[in-house]
Amino acid sequence: MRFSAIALLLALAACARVPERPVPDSVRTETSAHRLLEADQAAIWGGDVRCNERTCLLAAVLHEKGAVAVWRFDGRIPVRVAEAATAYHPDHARWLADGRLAVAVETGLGIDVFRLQGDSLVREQQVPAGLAPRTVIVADFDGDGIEDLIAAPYGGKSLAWMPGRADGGFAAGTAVPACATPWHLKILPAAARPGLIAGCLDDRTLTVWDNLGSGRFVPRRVASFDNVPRDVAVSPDGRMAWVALELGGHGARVDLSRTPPVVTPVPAPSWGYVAVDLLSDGTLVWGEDRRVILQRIAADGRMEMRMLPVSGFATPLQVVDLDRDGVEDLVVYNSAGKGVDVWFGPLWEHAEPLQSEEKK
Amino acid sequence: MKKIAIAAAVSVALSAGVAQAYQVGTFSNGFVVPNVIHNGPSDTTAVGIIGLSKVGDAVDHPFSVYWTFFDQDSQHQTDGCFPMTNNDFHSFVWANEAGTGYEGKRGYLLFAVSADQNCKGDAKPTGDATISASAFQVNTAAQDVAFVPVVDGPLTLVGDDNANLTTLDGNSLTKIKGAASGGTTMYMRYAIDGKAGGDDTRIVVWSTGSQKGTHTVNIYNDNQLRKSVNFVLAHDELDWFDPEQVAGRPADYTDGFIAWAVPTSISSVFTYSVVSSPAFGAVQTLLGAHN
Repeated sequence: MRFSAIALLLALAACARVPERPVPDSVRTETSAHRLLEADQAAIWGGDVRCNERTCLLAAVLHEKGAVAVWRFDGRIPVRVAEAATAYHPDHARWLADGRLAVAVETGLGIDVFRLQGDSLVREQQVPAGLAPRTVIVADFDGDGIEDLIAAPYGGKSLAWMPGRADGGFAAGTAVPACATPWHLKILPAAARPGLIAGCLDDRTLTVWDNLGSGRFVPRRVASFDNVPRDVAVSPDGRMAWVALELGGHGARVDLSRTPPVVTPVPAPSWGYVAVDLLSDGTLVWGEDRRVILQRIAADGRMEMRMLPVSGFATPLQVVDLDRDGVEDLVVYNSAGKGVDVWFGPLWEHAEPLQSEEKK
Repeated sequence: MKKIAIAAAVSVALSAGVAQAYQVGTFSNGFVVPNVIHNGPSDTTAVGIIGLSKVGDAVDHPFSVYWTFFDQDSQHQTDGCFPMTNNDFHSFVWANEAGTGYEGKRGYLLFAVSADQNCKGDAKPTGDATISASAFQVNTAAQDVAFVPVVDGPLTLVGDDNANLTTLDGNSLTKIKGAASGGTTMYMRYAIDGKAGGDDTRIVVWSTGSQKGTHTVNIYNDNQLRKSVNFVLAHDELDWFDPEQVAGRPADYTDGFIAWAVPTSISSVFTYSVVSSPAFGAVQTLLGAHN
């Protein structure tokens, strides 16, 4: 389904002056509910949080610096515990279940696998991906009990499939057909084997990959948009997806359980969204520029929106209980900006009412 | 795809009390100065033209250069003519040539060669003489000069050799060799700070087709990061827009480029950025790259 009429109307309104949104004081001065992890003035293109019962480790890639850094959170107090250089710009990182860290690095080698040992990140393997990776995801995709890696490209129409080996290493990447530029590849929960889902920036589609096993993934287009779909969040049962559309003044909800999938616009207060994640109570968290938007359906059926200010270009997002208090928190990796914003929950209560504003 | 013919700049004196300089490009039957404006003689576009007659022949054949000023929507505004001879140089200061009523009016100038002598004749194009030009925006009050790139010919005009250079309209120029072609992607630089004053950029987009409309493009920062944005071209053939005002630009995108896939309906397109940075104390002109 296309939103051409809506997009046209909103595009026609796009000539209005764009006010600069200042960094709010609540972001400048850390509050108990908010922390800014400054990262050497580097933009954080991505990262991941891994927790045990009491503490969490937050890994973040420092794109321009060519490094990956790790913070340990004991409660709400972060301590920077380790950093390692990468061969070139790192774009993303994911923890493996055994505590190793897979880092997508923009070189032919692809994925650097580090192990955190004390205050050091020790590189164990450089896995050739066969492409310059933008993101990496981790799961046991082939059902052999060993975690595998799949990387999505900075540009191009292939994914890289890197199956985990029994010795703990990963096989070199083999190409998997893809849509055009699926930057933020996500896991699509499925009854049998986990599939994949992504918004594809350069053909403006939402694409799902069916996992046929043994590293065979078949892409199928489930929706097309007038605007660039940058990020996707999926419900735990894999039946519903929410898509961050960069322009057009709205996001989208895609009911994947229907044939064909049904696409419904989701309102945005400004030009659109660049990231999306989901709280366990169904509240949507949308990334924008210098703020995130919380969106939920009130008891009376009305759509409610609130806002949390952040310091940069809020993409990607991660919802996780970082301080281990049983309440979900929000990690905002600012891919343009100067660090990582952390908002501790309860997020809705900390968020500000959204003032009405002019659509861009 | 044609490379824009811009070579090294060589300074030379123009007239009307403004500092003068010119750039050697290529010689052809005409050229376009894509962004022209004056606010009196102290702030004006100045063009220096070199003429060669009877290329490959020693005969010193007089010829004429017809010029036409179009507004940003390619509506004919005013025109004129000046004679040249072989190895001649002509300084053309827009504030002196425009006549009344054009102060503060932005547009573009088309220059074309005719075999006429002393601007008398049938005003038809010719290949027997060629011209080349350089241009600057001169601001004597600010003691500043900004390079204005010239789009070199040859010109392709409706009617070809039978076109009447005194009656050119917005549809007359169908193509110009020194510009990029539609279907290419233009890469337009910006360097801004999101504040009034400070680092500012204006991007010039000139074309021979109707470019008016809202265009969805990718904006990149200096860190490989991209985002789609809408930029509005408000005029048919010449726009001068501020990337700080582009809807959807993230505030931290202050240095980078805009990649615009030019519609194939546009036959010729030319872009450049004018970057003003107090840190450098100068206005710099950066040609749009194309691929």
